[in-house]
Amino acid sequence: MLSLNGLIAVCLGYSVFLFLVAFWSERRAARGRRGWLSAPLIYTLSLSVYCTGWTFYGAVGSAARSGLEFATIYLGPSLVMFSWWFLLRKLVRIGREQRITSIADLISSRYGKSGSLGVAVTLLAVVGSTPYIALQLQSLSLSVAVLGGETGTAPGAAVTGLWFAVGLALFSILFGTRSIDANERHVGVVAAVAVEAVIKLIALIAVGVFVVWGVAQGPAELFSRLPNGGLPDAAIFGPRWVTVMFLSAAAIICLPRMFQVMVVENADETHLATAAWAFPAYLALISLFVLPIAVAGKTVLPEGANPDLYVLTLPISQDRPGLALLAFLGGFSAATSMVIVATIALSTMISNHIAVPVWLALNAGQTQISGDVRSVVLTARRVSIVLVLALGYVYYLLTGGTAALASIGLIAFAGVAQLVPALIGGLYWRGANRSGALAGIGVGFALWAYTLFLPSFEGRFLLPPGVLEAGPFGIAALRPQALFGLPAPDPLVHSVFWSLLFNTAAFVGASLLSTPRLLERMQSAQFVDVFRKTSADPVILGRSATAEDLFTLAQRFLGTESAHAMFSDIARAQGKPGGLPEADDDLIARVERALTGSVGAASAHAMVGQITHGGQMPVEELLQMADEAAQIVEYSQELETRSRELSSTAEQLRSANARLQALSDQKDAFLSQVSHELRTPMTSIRSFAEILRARPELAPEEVARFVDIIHGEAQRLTRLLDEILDLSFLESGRARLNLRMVRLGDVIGRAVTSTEGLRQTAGAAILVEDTALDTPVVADVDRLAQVLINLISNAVKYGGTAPQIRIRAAAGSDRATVEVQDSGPGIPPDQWGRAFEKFSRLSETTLAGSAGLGLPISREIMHALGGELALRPSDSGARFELTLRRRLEEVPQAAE
Amino acid sequence: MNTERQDLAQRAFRRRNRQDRAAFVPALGVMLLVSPLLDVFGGAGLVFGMPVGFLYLFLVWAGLILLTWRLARMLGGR
Repeated sequence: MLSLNGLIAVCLGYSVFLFLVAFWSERRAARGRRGWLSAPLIYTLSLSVYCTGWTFYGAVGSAARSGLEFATIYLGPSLVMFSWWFLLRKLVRIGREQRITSIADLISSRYGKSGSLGVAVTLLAVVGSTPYIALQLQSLSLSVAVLGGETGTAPGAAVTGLWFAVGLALFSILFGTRSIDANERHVGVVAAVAVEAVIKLIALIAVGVFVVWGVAQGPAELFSRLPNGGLPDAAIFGPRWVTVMFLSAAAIICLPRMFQVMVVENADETHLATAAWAFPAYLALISLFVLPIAVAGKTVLPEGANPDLYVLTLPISQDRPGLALLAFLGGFSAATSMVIVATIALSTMISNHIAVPVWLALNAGQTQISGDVRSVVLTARRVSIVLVLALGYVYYLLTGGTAALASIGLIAFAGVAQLVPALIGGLYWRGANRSGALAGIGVGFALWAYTLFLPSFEGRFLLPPGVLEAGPFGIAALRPQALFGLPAPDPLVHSVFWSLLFNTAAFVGASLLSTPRLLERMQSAQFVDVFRKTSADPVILGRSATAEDLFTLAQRFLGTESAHAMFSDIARAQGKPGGLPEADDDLIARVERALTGSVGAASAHAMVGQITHGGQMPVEELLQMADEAAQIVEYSQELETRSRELSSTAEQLRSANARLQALSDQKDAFLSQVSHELRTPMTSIRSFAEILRARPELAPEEVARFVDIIHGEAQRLTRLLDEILDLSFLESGRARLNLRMVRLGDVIGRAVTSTEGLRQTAGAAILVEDTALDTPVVADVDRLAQVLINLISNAVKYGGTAPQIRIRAAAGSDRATVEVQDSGPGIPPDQWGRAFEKFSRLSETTLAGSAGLGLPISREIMHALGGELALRPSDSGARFELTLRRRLEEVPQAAE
Repeated sequence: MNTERQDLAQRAFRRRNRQDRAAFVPALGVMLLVSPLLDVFGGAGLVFGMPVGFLYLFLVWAGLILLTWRLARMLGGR
């Protein structure tokens, strides 16, 4: 049998061996020869930190007490591993892309790099892990007491526990906080954990094989020793089965140490493909002999032996000290690996989410002061490790090792399971936001503490026994272990049900009811759609940072060499031969990414934000700028539309103005013409009238001649006024027309007859060709005759001496035309337009009786009749052509 | 060209199919291990000298491990 000194020597020797493994691995990795150190097998074995001292000793105890329930502790994680393809792969991918350093960092980063969430998760993790660490100290002390107790020299459990706590703190500090790695990997620790994983598997299988084939004669003989193979008669499936299965499944991703080895220490995503089946296989192997050992312990060992220590006491009772020592080393490995990884993970979380933010707040605005911040972070981590172990030790002393090992472990599981809604929701639900996560974790954590954690002290801490019995202030509905009077046979099931129910409800409810900030929305996209995008585009902050500031910052966290390498790399990429790179968005983003790997997303974001004088502000600014830009675009589009409308309106106005101007000019010209035309006859009338008045002695024949002239001029004046009136009527469209079907020949005959006197005076000859004279046309007889008379008079006037006038009619299908041609000099084509203007006489010779309004009036009449009057080219003289309609219904209504 | 395209479609289909199977394994595990089926297959009694529940659990467990092993080899982790 081993002496206590021998046991201490073995422990120390084994520890030195682990130190050497860790040291050698780090040296190897530092030289770039990772080789098998980054093999999938090592990754798989490192996951076995899940199997702690509790697993090693407690599973057998659980099997002895309640049969197959122990298997749920391994089946839950196995089911999670089986869902590697859509769950773990996503988690690991996010972990690498976002440089996640811990579970607290993941949740904080997912919900907008929230500092408060980081603190909340860290606190939860510390509180949840403390019992667990206490559990390991307890299992170590117990095992030492059992092995060393034989000789009667075993020290008190408290002393043993203290020594273990100190030793573990030393190992964690040595290998966990030697340096700040850019991606927070601990090759040495992982290698040591992998070695320990092999040792504990071998130890448990060795004990199992010994029990089944050494103590008993094979499994059949062993199981036949107890009724029903040692299993209780009760049904296996039930609330507790489901609860424990769920808790253990949650634990493998939510426990800080599991997250550390599975996500943070993962070197290659493809390792998951191996771990997905190899780790469940490891778990199956390690639990294969649990039930046989329990059965053997129950039958071989005396009544009252602690089932939690069967693994040790069975070999001892069979007088196999070597096997007992191996079993002890297995348990030692299980406990130490768990404590080491857990304290490293927790210290990372404490330093990143509590210590660094506090330090930042204390040194706000002094980030430019040089100094190695790394030492601050490292010191924070070392202190955290000691603190975590001290907490665990205190818890161990408080609970005094009274509770069964397994139940303490499950309390811790239930604590970290409060992260499940926020974690899973964060991975798959874009709408999950910071308020939801804070509310869910807060409510779940509070309920867990109230219904499970505090009652675990059995009235010695915070909750007095009276409250446990009767509820606070005697309110039975609030009894910690029977909330709302729900009959709960099992405090664990009761606590998990209520805490997760309210946790999930608060998480979903608060997420739905609150609006996430921009950074949260961007991070949610980066997490949920991690497989959909190719490169991460981090939020770009303000640009007021200088490259020097950023270099100083990076240097203080990464060390001078790493920072220098990184900055020269970026400078080269920017095409600069040497010196510092430009402080562009890319540089800022890379510095933030590098820092994220060291101190977590929230702290890195805050620090870079401080240097860039931005913090959270620029994001709001960006949003505001985006809003403003959108408004400007909208506004300018509106302006463009408006200006288009305005310019078209202006165009219309301009043309209208031009028309008005032309009309006004026409009117002016018309008035001056009219006054001129009126003036001429008035002058002659006045002068003759004056002569008649001044000279009464005039001969009667003279008087008669003068009176004739006055009469003629007055007639001409009347005619002129009639014509002006007529034209004004026609132009305004107020002329009344008496439209009906008229025989063309009748109208022409009437016009010819009317102008007979005029023609004879001028000696003009007229020829009316006998074609289409019977054609009926739409006309007002008097008006059409007026037009023809006008044209004939014109022909007489301008047709030269002895004018020859020819009138010819023609009938089309719906139109009829009448031509009036004279034998005069004609009108040059460039003056055709003027011919129809008012008062425009084409030549200076004016015949009495014409005011030059004939053609304009004629044209207006023709328009009113629905026809046309135009000049046509001819070989001799002026040729006017009248166009007339042949159908009545076509006459436009405007003629009214 | 056409056969190539068919081949691509076929491969895409197979890959998707494997992913679906990979997603189905944990679901199958839940159906077999976290349901009253446990009490149907894992009742009292001994088979080959071992408790039925014990055998059932470990056989299902081993089956799921084998399934995942095959799928992981086919999917290759990427």
